[in-house]
Amino acid sequence: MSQVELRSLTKHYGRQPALDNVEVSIRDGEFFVIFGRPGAGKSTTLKVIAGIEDPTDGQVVFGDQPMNGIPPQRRNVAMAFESYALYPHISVAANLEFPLKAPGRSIGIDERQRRISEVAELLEITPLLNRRPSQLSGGQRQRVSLGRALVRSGTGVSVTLLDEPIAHLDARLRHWLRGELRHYQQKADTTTVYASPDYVEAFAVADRLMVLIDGRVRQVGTPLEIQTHPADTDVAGMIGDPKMNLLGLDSSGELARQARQHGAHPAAATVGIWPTDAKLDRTQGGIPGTVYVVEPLGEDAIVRVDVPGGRMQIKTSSSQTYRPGEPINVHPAWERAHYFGGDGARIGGGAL
Amino acid sequence: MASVTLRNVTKRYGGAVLAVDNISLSVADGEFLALLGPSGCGKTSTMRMIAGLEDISEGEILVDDTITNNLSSAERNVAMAFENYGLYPHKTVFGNIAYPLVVRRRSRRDIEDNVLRVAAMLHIDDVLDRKPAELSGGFQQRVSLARALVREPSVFLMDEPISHLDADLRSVMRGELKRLQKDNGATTIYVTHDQLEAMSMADRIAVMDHGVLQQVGTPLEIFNAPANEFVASFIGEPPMNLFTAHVGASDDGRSPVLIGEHELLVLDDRLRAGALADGGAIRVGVRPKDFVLNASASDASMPAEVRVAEALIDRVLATLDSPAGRLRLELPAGTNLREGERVRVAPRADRIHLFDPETGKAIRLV
Repeated sequence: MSQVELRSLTKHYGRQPALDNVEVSIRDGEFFVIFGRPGAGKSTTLKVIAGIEDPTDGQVVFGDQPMNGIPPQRRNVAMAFESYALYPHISVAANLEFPLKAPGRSIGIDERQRRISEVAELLEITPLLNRRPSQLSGGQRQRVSLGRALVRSGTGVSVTLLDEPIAHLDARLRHWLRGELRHYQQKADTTTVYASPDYVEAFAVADRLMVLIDGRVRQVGTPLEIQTHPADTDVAGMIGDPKMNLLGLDSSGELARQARQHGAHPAAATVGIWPTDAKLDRTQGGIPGTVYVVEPLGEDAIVRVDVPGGRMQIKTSSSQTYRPGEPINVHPAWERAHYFGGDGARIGGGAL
Repeated sequence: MASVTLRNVTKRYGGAVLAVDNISLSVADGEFLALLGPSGCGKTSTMRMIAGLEDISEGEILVDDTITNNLSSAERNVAMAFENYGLYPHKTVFGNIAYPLVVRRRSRRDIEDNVLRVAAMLHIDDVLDRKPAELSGGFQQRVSLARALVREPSVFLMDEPISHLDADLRSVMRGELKRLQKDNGATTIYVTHDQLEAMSMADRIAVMDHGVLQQVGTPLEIFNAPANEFVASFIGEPPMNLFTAHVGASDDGRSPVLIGEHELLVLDDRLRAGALADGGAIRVGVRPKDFVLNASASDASMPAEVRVAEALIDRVLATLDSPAGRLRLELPAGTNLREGERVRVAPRADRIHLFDPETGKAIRLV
């Protein structure tokens, strides 16, 4: 295990920059998440750390050792990438054992067996250990691929790299494994870099996150810091489930008038309101809106409401019924609203 | 506009494989029905029989009062959007969407208006002059959907129409499709494996597993009163916690449900209906939101240890180890839990689900 530093990392594919001056220091033993939409540069970052891709510019440093020019097999990195890349002609058990038997890793057979069964149990693949990869479903293959990275935890691995390792699993397993991965990582105390486009997954497991947009770092912080102080409207628009409502403050409009009345920053061009931070009612006051559609989700429901400035998603109890087209008043918790300037950068608000 | 009725419909492949097992179901005129289940449950076979793309092995399918078993796909006036797009590669996006109207000899003006309207709604109006091969899977999926929507048929059939879109667009499209269906009032049958789509969009959900219809009801009926353990585990996110407890000796017409020596709740004996012997097993289901944390030791509760806590904006998700096994809890935002911390958890008595350990069927007061 070790600290991983990315110094002014830039990667071009042809003339297209995939990573643009990425600068971050990942701490020893940290669960670090790269959060971004598809195409943001998450996988590229992992590949550059692993040494599968060379950076166009900049450095990767493990501890105090620069890695540029060092081939992947000598970086001592454990990886699970989205394309599973299992050995087709050997069993699942042998696939899991393979990284433990590589030259220079003197791990005895008992210890190898112990690790394989521990990881197989964790990933619920114990009944599959004697199968070949071709006999597995996509989700099962993904778990074997993940297992191959985890099985090395605590054997002197510098860093574990996981690229959307649970994206293709069913909902139940995704929920379990998320928690289990975090638990396992803390126990093994390995520096882990995890890429995900999924807000819940990223924020649930991370010690700290890096928000990547178009190959550039927009924000680095703990989940709480990013949730309470999103750096700009682009970051704010990527987080929450549903995502934060971002509404334009047209200076003459009713929304802007009410925002100012409740202490909005004078330069605010956009207000951000969490879906759980607004109430709906049919009486007077608040922001006048029209129900667009209602989506029940069990105990909760998401109500989409058209208001001046945009369409909001509001999370409310499913016991209340609303009809599409019905006029409704929205009452934001203004004391918790976020404000952003004309350039999108955060300028205030968001008290919790 | 039309209603759709399935009477004892069965589908066998190659004489042996039973894909759909004796399903009876009716979809009212103007209703949005979701066919929900895991892959291989028979939902797509069911839809393909309604569309006329598969023969029906046994039973009947009616559109309004007409038996459609022997009608061709074209004669049924159903429109479909497929998971695997089925687009014409040599036609532009505009040409693909317009095609159903062209073959119906609609006026040029009419075609153009309708194509543009549907394309704008699906955010594909910028790519109308491209060919399908130039587009990503998500775009192709929306073109396929647009081609079905432009026809205004009596019945819409949609097979996972938004499953390949990225999460943000999927969320937007859920709302758009639901609103569209409410506006045009077309009878819609929507196949999905995603419980969130079914819950949020459908008027009623038909849950299938292994070719068998497990339950039909409104989203809230299915969420609040799942008919069996399969439905209980398939609906809701995070999924319901399910574990085995045992029933203690009856006292004064009431019996405790226990995990080890910990009493979780007291059952009215009317629930026992003879099937649950003293000391017998019972399956218990508790949704992640339906636990109370740090109940007092005198309440019906059990000890647990925090394994992982995940803090999100509007809630905390936690994994706990308990005598009932590993549990997932959804707690209010700001709940402070340290890993390794010992707590007591109690299921909310009015929100517990009970299932027969043999059949998996829900046990309810009658």
